[in-house]
Amino acid sequence: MAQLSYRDAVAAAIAQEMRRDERVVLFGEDTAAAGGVFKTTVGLFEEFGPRRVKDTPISELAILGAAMGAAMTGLRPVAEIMFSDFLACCWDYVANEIAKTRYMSDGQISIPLVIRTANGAGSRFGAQHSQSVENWAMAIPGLKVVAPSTPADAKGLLAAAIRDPDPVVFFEHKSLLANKAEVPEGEHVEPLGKAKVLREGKDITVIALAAMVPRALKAAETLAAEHGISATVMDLRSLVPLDAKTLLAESARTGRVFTVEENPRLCGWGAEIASVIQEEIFGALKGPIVRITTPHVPLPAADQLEDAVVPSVARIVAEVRRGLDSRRAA
Amino acid sequence: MTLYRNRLLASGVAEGTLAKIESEAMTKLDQATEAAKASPTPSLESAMSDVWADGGNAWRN
Repeated sequence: MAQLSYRDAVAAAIAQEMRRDERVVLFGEDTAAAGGVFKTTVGLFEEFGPRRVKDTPISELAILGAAMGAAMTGLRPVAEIMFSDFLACCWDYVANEIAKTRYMSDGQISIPLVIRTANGAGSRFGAQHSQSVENWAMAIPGLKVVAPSTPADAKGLLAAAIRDPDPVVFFEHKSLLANKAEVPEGEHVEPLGKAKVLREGKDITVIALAAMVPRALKAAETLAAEHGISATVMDLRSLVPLDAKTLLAESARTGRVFTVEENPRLCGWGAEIASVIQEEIFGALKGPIVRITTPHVPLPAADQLEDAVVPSVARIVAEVRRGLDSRRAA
Repeated sequence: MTLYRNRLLASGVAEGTLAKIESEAMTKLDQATEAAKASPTPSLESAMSDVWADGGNAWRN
C-alpha cells in the first residue's frame, strides 16, 4: 500500500490504464503540461507525450465532441470537464449523443469513454462552480455515474470506468482532492456498481456518497459516543449501476434509513434511493426515510453560507436525532 | 448544404459531379425508406435493449 492523495490516485489510475492500453488518451483544458487545474493529471504528459495527452480549447462541446468521435473510432478517451457545472455547456453531447448512440444504432455503435469532472462544494467557488450534479447524469439512460469518496476508490473505480464499454461520468469531489489514504500499489480495479459498508451499526442506516461519506462517518461516531445511536454507514460509490441489493439489505437490517446528499433537495439521488427502498421493503421500515440534503437553493459562495446549506456533521447528527425523536413522539 | 455546394462549385468541382453525388444519395435514401416500410414493425422487446454494451437496460442489481 502507498499513501496517496485523492488527486494523485486519479492520476495513478489514468497512468495505470494508459500503460495497459495504448488506446487510452486523455484531454481537456490544461490537462497536459499544467497537470490539470486541480492537479489530477500531473506527470501524464511527461510519461505519455503530446500524442496521448492533449490540451484543448476552452470549449466543452469541442472536448466531448472529440471524445465521442474518438470513442466511436476505436480509442478509449478520458475527457476532462474542468468543473461539473460546465456539463451544462455540453449537455447535448452528454445526454443526447453519448448516452443514446448505442440505443439509437440498435447496439451497432459503442461509445466507451469517461468524462471526468470536478464536482461539489467546499472551495467557495459559488453557484456556478460548486454544484453537485451527479443527479443530472443519473437521470439519463445510457450513462453510468460514479463518485468515489476515498483515494483507493478514486484509483480503482476510475480504472474500471476506463475499461468499461459504456460511457461513464466520473465525479471527482473537489473537497476530497487533498485527502490522503492508503491506495493499493500495482494494478487496482474496483468493479462498478458495488456499494461499500464502512461501519456496521444496529439502529440506523446512513447512505452517503462522495464528500458526504466522511461526514456521515464522523456523524456516526458522534451519534454513538454522545447519543447511544449505533449507525451503519454505507458508501454508494456509484449511482448507475446501483447496488440495490446492498442498500436494501442494510436498510432492512435497521429499519431506519437516512440519506446524506449534496444535491439540492428536488430530485437529488436520495429521492430515487428512498423510492426503491419504500417500494421494495416497506414492511421492514420502522419509520419514514429521511433525506438530509442541500436545500433547494443555488450554492452560495460566502464561507458561512456554503457551510450552512451543505449537510455538515452537526446537521447530520441533528437530523438523525430529530428523525428518531419524531418517530418516538408519534 | 447549399453553402457547401456553392463552396465545392467555387473550388472547381463540376456541376455534373455534384449532381451525380446527389442522385446517388437520394437513391440510397429512397431504397432505405422503402426497406423500412416493407420491414415488420420492431419487437416490443427492442425498446428495452441496447442501452448498455451487454445488450440490456439494467441500471441496478
